[in-house]
Amino acid sequence: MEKKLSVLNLAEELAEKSSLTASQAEGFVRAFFDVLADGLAQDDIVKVKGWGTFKLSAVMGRESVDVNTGERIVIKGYRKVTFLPETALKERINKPFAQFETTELNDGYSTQEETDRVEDAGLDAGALLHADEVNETFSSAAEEKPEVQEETTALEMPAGTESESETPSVYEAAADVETMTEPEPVESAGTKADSGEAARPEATTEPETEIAIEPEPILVPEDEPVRKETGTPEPEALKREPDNVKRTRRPRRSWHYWLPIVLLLLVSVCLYIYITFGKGFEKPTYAHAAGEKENSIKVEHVDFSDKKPNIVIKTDSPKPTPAACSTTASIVHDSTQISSEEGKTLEVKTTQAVPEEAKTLEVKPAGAEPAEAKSAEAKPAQQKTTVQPARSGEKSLKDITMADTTGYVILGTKATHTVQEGETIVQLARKYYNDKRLWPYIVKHNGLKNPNSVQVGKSIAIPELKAK
Amino acid sequence: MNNKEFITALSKRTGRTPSDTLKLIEDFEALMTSHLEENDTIAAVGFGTFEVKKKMERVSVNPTTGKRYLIPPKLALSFKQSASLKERFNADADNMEASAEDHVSRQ
Repeated sequence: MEKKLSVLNLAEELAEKSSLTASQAEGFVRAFFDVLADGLAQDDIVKVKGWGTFKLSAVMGRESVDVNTGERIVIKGYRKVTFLPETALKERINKPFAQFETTELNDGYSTQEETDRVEDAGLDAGALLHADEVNETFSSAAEEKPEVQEETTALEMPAGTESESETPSVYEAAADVETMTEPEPVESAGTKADSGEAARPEATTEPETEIAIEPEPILVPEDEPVRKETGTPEPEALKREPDNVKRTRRPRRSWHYWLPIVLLLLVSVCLYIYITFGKGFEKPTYAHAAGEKENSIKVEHVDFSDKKPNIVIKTDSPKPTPAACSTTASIVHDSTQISSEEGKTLEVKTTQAVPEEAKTLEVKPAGAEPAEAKSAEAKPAQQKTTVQPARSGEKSLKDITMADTTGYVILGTKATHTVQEGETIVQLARKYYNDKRLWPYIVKHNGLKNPNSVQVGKSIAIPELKAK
Repeated sequence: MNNKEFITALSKRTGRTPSDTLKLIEDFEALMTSHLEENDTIAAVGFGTFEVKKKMERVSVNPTTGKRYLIPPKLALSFKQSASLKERFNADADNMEASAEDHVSRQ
């Protein structure tokens, strides 16, 4: 559309638009510009409404250089007609670009500006960092809760594991007396394996044996925090359970989630030592649990006698290299113990876990496989036969094992308690709920950062709990 | 010369009433504007050329605050006087410089 219009073109169009003839229109257009020129000559300025302002302005003479000769020449000053369109006209012409606006730029070149910018950027970055920190604190705060729960497992585990760890040691007393001479490593190993196993086989109890109705709610939640930590999809394993073949995949993954479990166990062992030797307030229950456990042990013994091959193989296995695979040995012990209650599934698992972990032990895989096979054979029979002993064994387990730390909802504050000297949160839990295992709820409700050190005189709100 | 004077002068020149002239002026302006909107160039012989020019976007700095601004591109109407008009105003070559200086000093 960019055509060049002459006065004649304009006159034609004006003639069409108005009632003028072509010649009249042409005359008008010419007159228009002539008057403009005359007006400029007269006043140096002409204002035309709806169009703009024409002005005569002087241009100063200046020195320059002749491009061809290089001589210095003087360009004379002259007068020039300038045109300043009206705002309305300007806007109409600039319509296509009207949406643009002048924007302030944030990054600059000038030094002063640059420093300013840098400072600004620094501030921004700082603000960002701050935001990150805040986020982190938030996330850490969010993480704290699972941690607390994990701690409960850690704390509760020893409570459970102590008596359980005693059982393997009792076992070992029966199996070989030499291990008993070193009570501490055995015990710790026992706890390690114990709680480690507690995490695993308990999950299996859920779908497998309907006999284990009682321990289920107790065992499963304990497993949950562990699962959180390790991040291994336990339910997958659960699904695979009924299938023996698929289970062989499991050991591969065990590598990843054994590491954190072991770390957790170390912490739990430390806590356990602290509680038992430092405070010793849990002793009576331990004794009680242990007493019960012994009953169960008897049952288990009976149980074991039913499943001779497994026990024989496994109790034997730790002997060749007791030091090297003390943990695996205890795992085996433990697993046999639990397997006596749960049946073949657990057993199979441990046999899988064992060859993976104790590769140095050649005896084990050899022994483990027949165990698996035999357990598979004994499957139907065992399920029936183990019903009774399993129950008794599980009852003892129920007392021993972890608290149900996730099965409740905090509804409100039931009471407030002022901490006296020598009291602990666990004691408060026992006092108010008749169940020491619910202490994490008190910690959670009060937002205690360190439940192990509560100041005397501090008032603790006891939450009202409701089972989910 | 303001708008009123301009209309009067034009009406005198064309022999019409000022109101008729005003109407014609408005029509003519609307006509030119519509053409300019379509990026047409209007060349009035003996006076000058009206042309729409595209100005590129640029970065401008406010000297007092040091802030930098991006000025968007725009379409601007420019006018260039014709050579004959220039001659008319600068007819007296000898006096020209003096008149220019005079003009500047007046400003």
